[in-house]
Amino acid sequence: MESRLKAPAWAAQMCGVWRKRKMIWLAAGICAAAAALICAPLLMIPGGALMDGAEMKRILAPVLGEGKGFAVWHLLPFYPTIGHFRRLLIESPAFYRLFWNTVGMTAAILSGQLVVGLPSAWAFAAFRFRGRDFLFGLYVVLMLLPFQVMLLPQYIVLQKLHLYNHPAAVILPAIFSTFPVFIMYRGFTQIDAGIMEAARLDGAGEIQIFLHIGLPLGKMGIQAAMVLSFLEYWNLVEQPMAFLEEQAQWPLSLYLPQIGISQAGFAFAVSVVVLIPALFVFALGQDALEEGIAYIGVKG
Amino acid sequence: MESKKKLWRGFALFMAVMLIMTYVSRMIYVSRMPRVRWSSPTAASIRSTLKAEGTVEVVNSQAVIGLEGLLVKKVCVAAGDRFETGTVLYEVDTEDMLAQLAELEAQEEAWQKQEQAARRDAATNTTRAQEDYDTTVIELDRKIAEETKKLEELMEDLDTHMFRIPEEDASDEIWIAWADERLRFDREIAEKKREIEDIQLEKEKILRQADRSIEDARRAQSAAESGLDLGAAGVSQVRERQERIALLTELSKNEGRVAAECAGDVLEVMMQSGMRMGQEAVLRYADDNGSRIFRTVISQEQKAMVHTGDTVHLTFPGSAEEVGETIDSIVQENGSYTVTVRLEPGVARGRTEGVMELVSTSEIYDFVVPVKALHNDGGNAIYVLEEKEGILGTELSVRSMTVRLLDKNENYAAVVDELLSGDMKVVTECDKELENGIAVKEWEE
Repeated sequence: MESRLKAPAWAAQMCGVWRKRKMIWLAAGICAAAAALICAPLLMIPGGALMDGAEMKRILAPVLGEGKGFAVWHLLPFYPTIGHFRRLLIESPAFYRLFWNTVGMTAAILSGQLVVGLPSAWAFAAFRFRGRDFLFGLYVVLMLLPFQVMLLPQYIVLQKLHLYNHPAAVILPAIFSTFPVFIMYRGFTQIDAGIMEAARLDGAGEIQIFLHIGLPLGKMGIQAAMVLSFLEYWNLVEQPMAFLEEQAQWPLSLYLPQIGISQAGFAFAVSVVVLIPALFVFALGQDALEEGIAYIGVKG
Repeated sequence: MESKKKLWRGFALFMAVMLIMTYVSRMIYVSRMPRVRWSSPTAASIRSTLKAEGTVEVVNSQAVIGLEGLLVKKVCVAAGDRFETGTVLYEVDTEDMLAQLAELEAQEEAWQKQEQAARRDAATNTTRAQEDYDTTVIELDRKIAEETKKLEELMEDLDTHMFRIPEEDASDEIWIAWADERLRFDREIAEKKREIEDIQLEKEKILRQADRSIEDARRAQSAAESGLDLGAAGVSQVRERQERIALLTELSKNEGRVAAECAGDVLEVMMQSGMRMGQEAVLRYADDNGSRIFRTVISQEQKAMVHTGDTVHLTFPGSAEEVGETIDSIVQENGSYTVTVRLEPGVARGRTEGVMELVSTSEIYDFVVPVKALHNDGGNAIYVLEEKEGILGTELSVRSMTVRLLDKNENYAAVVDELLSGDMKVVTECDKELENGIAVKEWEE
């Protein structure tokens, strides 16, 4: 009786395998669905950028309140056109103005962060001094504060410094951002302390140690910080919107909101072009970025 | 590492393309941008010139009335023709005319003979009446003289008798006889005086009658000589005949050609070859010395510029003639206005068209802009050039500004608005259609 009720061992083993496979497939399905959901907007961009205006209007009719049902997106447009790109690249000087504003602003911020943040991070990583932990804690707190909290104080300070409605109003606070310091600090902490000690014993000065040991060995952290900063400041929206009144000083990220829903195809084309530098930077700094993100998780 | 280099190259290429396209798009943007010229409003007056084409019309036309009964051989002018003094208007049939002339001359000759005979008779009667008068006067004078002599003799006899007065103591019979004699003398003297008076009365009566006879004879002679004996109708008829003979004679000298006595323009021809002329006019014309009027039609907008009594300048196409005349009347007709100008006699001779020009200068307005600056934006409006901050930075753009139009001519307009100022830049010219808020660039000189 007992033997009839008890399943053979191999059967139990098979059930376990099947259950495990099911779970894997289920998890994979869920992940694929989530990935598709997340990537859907990205997939819409190239199709939308090449879509004819009339087709776009027909598809978006339910969204625009001009039709019933739901908008059904076509990944491949029926009437593809490069008209939006032609208009953007040839007939929209405003786009280029804002593009170069963004380039200039991002370059200034990244340069400033290298000048200001790099020594700070090295100091936190290489030296033990009184108040270091307090200062570093302050950095972390500042890093955690959302922009909305800092908005009013920054506004007041910028007004007092007569920097409101000037690109410096966006650039200067960003230069003194604490997040890249934190990333670079994490990169510098990965350097073996013995190497630096040996260098000191060999008579190397602190600047030499920084230049010849710190920078080469901590470059992945620096690159990661720069890539993350680039991605953040290339798409900066809140700060310029708050501190820059003149449209001529806006970055590209404020150009898209100016485009109405009736010009959705044009907006998609803008998105494609805006995306290209970010993709280049991401591709160039992908390794460093992965490592830098890993540093964030490493206990200091 | 190699892939990184490719990525860097790709990134650099992308940035280079973006840089080039920045300039390309900017150049295209600027090339499509309307170019404008501008000027600031100035204080000035508006000099308005109203120019209107019109027609010259004849006030009173003249008529040519031909000789009744003549046959038209050829009409030499047509309506609208211009003619000068001496221009042949038409010709009559000379054979027909000469036949009529010969008939009239025969009638005249017969009448002349008859008239001469009548005159002779009248003269004879006058002479005879005068002779009768003279004879009567002589005879009666002689008779009066005789009777007067007899009276004087009686008077002498009476005086003699009076000296023969009887003595106082003469008898009664003597006295009675003397007295009776005296009475007889008195009666005879009185009777003789009466006779003389009677003869004188008779003489006066006869002489009066003789005078009348002479007067009648002379009147008859005078009438015969002057033709009054024909009566008014007869005289008129004779005169008409004589006039017609004279006209026909004159016409025959011209070989039947009727020429214009003055210069003018033919308005209407009512005769044709082969037609026998009647009492009606055969041709109407406008005398160069006659009065004309100029008429033109102006719009309601133009009406504001002209008033009755205004002096206007008139010219006539094809002529160097220029005159200044005053407007006589302005009459509204079907939404437009007819302006009438009466021309002085002799003005616009031979002209059918004219151009009226009136120049008026307004008061000084604060803001005068070129009329090209005006456009319609639900009313009169101007485009004001101003700097505008946009994505591309500071750009020139135009803003439509509604203004009230005070006055204007072909070149300038006086406008007013509370926001208008003398330092504004008003767009006066552009090479593309403008819209409110559109970015523009200044015209390169």
